[in-house]
Amino acid sequence: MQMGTRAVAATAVCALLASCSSGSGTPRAEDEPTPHGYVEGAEETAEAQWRLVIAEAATGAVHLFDPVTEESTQVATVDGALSAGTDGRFVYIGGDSGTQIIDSGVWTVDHGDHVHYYKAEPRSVGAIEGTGFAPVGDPAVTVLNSEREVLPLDRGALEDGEVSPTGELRAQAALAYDQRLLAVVDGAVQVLGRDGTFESELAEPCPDPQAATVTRRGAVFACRDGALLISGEDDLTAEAVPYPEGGVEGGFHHRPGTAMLAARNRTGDVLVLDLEERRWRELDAQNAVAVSATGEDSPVLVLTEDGALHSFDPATGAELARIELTTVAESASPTIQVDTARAYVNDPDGNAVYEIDYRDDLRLARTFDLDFQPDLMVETGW
Amino acid sequence: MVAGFKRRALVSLPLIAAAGLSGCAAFGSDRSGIVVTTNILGDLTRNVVGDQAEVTVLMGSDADPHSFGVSAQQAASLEGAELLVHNGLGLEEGVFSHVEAAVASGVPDLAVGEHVDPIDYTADESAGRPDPHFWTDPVRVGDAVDLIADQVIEHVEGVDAAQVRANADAYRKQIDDLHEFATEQFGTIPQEHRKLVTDHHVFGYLAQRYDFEIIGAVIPSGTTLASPSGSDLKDLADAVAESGVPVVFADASQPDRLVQAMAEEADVRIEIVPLFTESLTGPGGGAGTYLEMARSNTEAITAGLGAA
Repeated sequence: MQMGTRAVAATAVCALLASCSSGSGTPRAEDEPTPHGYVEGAEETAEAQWRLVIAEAATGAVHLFDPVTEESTQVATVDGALSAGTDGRFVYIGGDSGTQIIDSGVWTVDHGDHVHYYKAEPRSVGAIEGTGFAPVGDPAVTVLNSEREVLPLDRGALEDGEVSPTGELRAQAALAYDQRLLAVVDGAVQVLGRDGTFESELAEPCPDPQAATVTRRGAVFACRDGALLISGEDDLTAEAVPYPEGGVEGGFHHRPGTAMLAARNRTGDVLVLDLEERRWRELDAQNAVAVSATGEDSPVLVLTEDGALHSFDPATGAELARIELTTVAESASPTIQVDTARAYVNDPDGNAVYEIDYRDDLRLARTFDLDFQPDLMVETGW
Repeated sequence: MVAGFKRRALVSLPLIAAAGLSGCAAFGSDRSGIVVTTNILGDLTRNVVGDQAEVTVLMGSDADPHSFGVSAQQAASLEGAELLVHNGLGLEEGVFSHVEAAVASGVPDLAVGEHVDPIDYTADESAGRPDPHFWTDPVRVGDAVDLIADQVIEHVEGVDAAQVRANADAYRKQIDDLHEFATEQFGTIPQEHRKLVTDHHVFGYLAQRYDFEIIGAVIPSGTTLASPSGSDLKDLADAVAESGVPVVFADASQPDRLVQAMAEEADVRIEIVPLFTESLTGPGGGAGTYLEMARSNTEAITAGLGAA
């Protein structure tokens, strides 16, 4: 049996439950480091474990769908479900009474030159006040951003099944980057320790931050006049990349970690931010309802109001392929979720999720017919 | 676990032990026994030590040497060992901090991989870094056996040096036989078939020793395999075309599905042959010992490529 800080915490929980056996009677060392790759209660797997977490607004049922087995399990109920976000493992579903946090039980730990994939039992972790959170996390902290507040959560505590803020963060937007926090306060970007202690302030400002994400080429805020890319390790540098026109709305969308970002602007046009080139490109796609970028050398996907999915070459802006998928109802808010192999599009009116091979001319690989309405969807396992 | 006898020094002088003075094992150490990280090295060490000392192996059977962890109790045993045998070269990431701490506290250690003329990885992002998987070459394993015997005799109190040497020689004879067997078996494979299409990164030493070429391939799995297209299978199809032998050495999670998909989507007929790579199995699992593992792999590779 493995000792570690997580094991210690698990034992503390066990002590409260009469039916819980502690295993061995070995004394536990509080300061025992958790060994590399080992995670208490989790199974390390040879291949990535992707899951779709899908919520039905009318019933509040939250399902965990495994695209390999094509099986779905209901894992929670969130009355009035209206928003969903994820940090790759934990899913944050906003509803009538705040936001429910669900552990999808699948995640990836990136060690730079190699990764570890894990699988554990999914479970409900707890609830917080407020809705509409967009999570941006690292292995230690998940920062939840909403229009009203910014809430940094201790990811280790979430893994132990507890909801515990790392501190109070008075900011307009924030994210976890390179073992620190970057927080926009009164339009200025502050560098904070993970515990929230002030370290420095960057020279480039970010007025009216609207979205935030982290990529392998740095962290990005969408500010009033453009994107702000913050990169570097010890000494952080900030570079502004002005918008072609207007700002982005609804956040950045991309395959997690990759440095090609897609977004919609306020008029339904599609903007692509190439972080390597530090350049925005506007795509010739009208009335986009969902967008996502699949990587630096692969297509940007756009779902338009007429239910067609398009792929564009981000380098040239040329349309590469198109496929008719669905009819998008006025009220529906489909999304495009992308992993290393496939993209998934939810069709609330058709009670279906489409699996797309985005490297093969948008080939419709599979259609998953569901017995519930997939109003909200996020993909976990990253 | 091999039955052994525990010895405790009558006088405990932990300060001297902590100072890590080599050669002081005969007196004054309260350390006891040999701790080995991986199960492959554990098997070698037990064959060398016999009943002369207690050998504790940290990694269970059917585990991953890169990621296995240890309990607090095992970590403590590691710091109390008279000799710590580990693979080194970055293999045991999961227990690296414990190994480091034990060595820092003065436990004599043998990082076997570092002393058997390691080769560097040649492919992908690991290129230039030493390859820790030396056990796929029996000749190096023979050297490792002698190294382990030397260190046991030097550091482990109360062992009969002549007996340890005799054990090592007898075991080494079996390793030499294995090498002879492998040379003979692989010799039956036509030169143009000596290509291993695989996603395993552990056969570099075997390839060098027995003149194989490794052709790395991505093995489609998960959602890619659920409804694959030619583009999903292209990498593997290209590798098979390059090798000229339709045999893939891999642990596919759905081998039948992969064979079927390759035939349907890429029009390539393949056979999938699993090999034992980084861990011994439990008894009866096909690779209960190092010798069994190596022979089994030799036969599987020979049958796969020879029949092609």
